[in-house]
Amino acid sequence: MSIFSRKYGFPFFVLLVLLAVFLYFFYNLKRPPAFRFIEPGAFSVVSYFQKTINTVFSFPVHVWERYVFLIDTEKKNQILNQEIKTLRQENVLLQESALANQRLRKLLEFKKNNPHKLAVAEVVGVDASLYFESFFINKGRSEGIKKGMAVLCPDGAVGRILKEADSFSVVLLLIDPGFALDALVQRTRTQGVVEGIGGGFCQMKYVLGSEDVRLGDWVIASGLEGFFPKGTIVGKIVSLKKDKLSAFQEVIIQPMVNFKKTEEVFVVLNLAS
Amino acid sequence: MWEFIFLAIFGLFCIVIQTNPIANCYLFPIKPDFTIPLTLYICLFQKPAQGCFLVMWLGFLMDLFSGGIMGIFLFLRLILFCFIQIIKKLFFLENKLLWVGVVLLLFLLDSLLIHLLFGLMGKNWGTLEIVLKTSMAQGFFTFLLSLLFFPLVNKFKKFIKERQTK
Repeated sequence: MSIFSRKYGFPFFVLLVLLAVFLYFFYNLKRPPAFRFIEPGAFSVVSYFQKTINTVFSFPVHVWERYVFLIDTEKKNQILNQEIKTLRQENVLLQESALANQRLRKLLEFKKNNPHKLAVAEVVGVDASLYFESFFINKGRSEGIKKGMAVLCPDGAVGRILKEADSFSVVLLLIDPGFALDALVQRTRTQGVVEGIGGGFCQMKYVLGSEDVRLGDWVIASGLEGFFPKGTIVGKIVSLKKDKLSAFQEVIIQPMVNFKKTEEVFVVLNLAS
Repeated sequence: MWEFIFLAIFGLFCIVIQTNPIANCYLFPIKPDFTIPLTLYICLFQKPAQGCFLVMWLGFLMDLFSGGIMGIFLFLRLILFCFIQIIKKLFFLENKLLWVGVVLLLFLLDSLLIHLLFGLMGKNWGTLEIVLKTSMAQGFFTFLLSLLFFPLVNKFKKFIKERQTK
């Protein structure tokens, strides 16, 4: 026995191990891959070890990559930052010119489709006070602009010329309490006077309580006062109040023009006959 | 004389800034009215006669650069001028902290007077509540800006005086 174990002990042991491994392999072959038996524990221990080794090895690499190797990075960073700034500026300029192009195209189309004699003007300033709604345009008497003339933009009526100088005019906006315009409700042809009430809204006055006026109806210029082309959009009805004691109803209109974003306008010099 | 000219030009500069659409879009969340702190400054540090002309100039500029009836701001600024002249005698207005209150008070008075004038003219200009709210917000914002404004005017004044003595 002792001779046998001395002679064949080790090969026999290897054979047993091989058999055990084969059985283990055979067992795992028919099951989905997963950690079993001691594998999870072993893996945890190994992973800690691996982590420690990685940390130790990564330190010099980290020092090399982050400090030694980055001597020129500050310079490169500055150059790249400068480049980003330049590109950003270029991008803004391009966007601005694209927007200007879009706006001007819209204006050109509006002018082409409009039979009236118009003068294009740029908005150069806003009202100095908080109490009035007006803005200034860069065209005046020298371009034939006179007090009372209508000011429009592709979205609708903007206001009228309040004061004019040689190359500068003040436009009283639709939403100013001092503004008044004869207007119609497009659907029913109900007539009234549109007046500004501040806060970005207008009111249509003298609309009888019996008139059929609805929310969402369009209000247009009647053209009766002789400056605004008939049919110019004034705004949309956004609020209605009928008081039993009053003969008239309260009609609130929201203008279609965004006065804060208006950059170019048209002044109607002459209405087409 | 130079101080008078400087304040007149500075007033014009303030109004141009106030009416600038770009400044209104990007710099100021609420449109400020620099003419009111400037009126206060003029009343406090100028001789009454000179101050009166300067305040009239400011009012005239406001009238030019606004869509209101010509003369309305000329009138309002002169009333504010008289009001400051009266309270100047009653209070010790050298205290800079008190200027805060006075700037807000002037805004309040200005909006009340505007409301009263519109009422007398039969114009519909929002409710008194809106007027007061708006003017208080504007007043507060202008006051915040005037914290920079007053030292700036003083600096310029000193600079001009130094140039004159040289």
